[in-house]
Amino acid sequence: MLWRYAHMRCRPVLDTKAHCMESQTPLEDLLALTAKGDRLAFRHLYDRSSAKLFGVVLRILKDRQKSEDVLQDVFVKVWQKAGSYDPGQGRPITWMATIARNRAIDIIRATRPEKTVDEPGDEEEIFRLGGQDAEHVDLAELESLRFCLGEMKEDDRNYVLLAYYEGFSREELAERFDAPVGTIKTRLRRGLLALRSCLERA
Amino acid sequence: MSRQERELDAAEYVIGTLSGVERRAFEASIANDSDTRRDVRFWERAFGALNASVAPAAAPDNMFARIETELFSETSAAGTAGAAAMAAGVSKTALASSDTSTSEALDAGGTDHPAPKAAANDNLLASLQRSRGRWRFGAVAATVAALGLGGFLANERYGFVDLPGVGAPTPVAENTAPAPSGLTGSQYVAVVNAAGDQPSLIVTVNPQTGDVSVRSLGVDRPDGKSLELWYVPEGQTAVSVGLVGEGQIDLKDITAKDGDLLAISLEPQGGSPTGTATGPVIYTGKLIKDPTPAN
Repeated sequence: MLWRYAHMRCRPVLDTKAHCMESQTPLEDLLALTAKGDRLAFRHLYDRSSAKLFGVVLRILKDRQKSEDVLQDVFVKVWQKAGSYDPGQGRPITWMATIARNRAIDIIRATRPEKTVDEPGDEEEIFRLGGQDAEHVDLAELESLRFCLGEMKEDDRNYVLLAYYEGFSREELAERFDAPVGTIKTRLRRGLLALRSCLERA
Repeated sequence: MSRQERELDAAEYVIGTLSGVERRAFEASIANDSDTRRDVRFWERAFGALNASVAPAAAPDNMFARIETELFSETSAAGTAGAAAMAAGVSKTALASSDTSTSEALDAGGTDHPAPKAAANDNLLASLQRSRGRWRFGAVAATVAALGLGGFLANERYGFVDLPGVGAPTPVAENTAPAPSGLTGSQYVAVVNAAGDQPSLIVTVNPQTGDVSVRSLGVDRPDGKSLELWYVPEGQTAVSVGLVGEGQIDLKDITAKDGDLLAISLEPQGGSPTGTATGPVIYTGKLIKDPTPAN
């Protein structure tokens, strides 16, 4: 297969010289090429996003084997659906992370309805917002989200973040915060409503 | 069901708190409900920013091969769409354009580090240059890792930038100082960067009120160390203006202007004992006039 890349300055795998920084090609472009059936672009897209997506999935499923299966499904789907990506939905990584989260949540909702609450990793890390990953985040969006999460009642914010990062169900939140499921649902929805109106103002 | 309830279902769907049965019912119900589909996209996008703070985890080495097998092996039907495009000969053009955009990106890159001016404090300048070297290494390491040669280097890079410690959901420091002289009119802002061009802190200086705010984008202070903020006027000596997240940040003696530099170095607890940066400079950013007017 390598002959196909002979005309290129950078060949996959063999060539790791500094000028071969595929990491500079925007993910948007890699996704667009993937949609056209470019397997090399797909490979780069995988190299650039798989660790992040695997991190997202692992965090929710907390099971390596299941997470690997989900990651495989996710990239199969990315290949098949690359053409339907719409930049209006956010950055490519957001679109891919949505596919990954949805798949992971489907799995846990199907397989751990009765599961007792895990020790949720490192609390500090859970509640730390944002990151340094410029490629993966729109600074303005992160800033307004941080601001609006900061405006929420602390409990409400914790429910939302535990659900988003750790895949907590209402039942698991109820157990962890020692409150009836109905109360959790009410507070969760109240918090989300407040968050939305803040985000629309921000 | 009320419109508001549909909106909230969409939000709960995105954060994942609907039960399995509710999820499936919700998915089926939005097929003919474009308003609610829009709500879903709103939340996916809003929360997407949170993914930046999830630590990456290296996938197994054989993962891409597994994906390719599922998609492209003879017996597989999964890869139909892509395979059809390849058969149509799109692929070769696509590869060529991929190469072009890569070299364009490279040509454009590498010039955006704010270089300290010649007369800046010697120690700081030396630290900055060392630190620039390290950043380059960081960028190369990230590329090597991106090419699938292992997660180790990437971890090293994250380890350097992503200091363990206290979480900071709100601004790390919100300090007030007397209104500095010599500053009028606009507010100034610096996005302070680490590891290439990744923004880590946003420092805003409001000359009218003397407010200095430092907003963290996931920067943490390691135990037993302080992050010291330096102001480097163009062509002049670096001045310490305080410790990030610890007490007063004082910019009252500073006449900010476009192009001045803010830098943050890692120092012993309590700040540099010598008055110049003794530890590595881990963040730098240029001060620019904030286009949005000060309050």
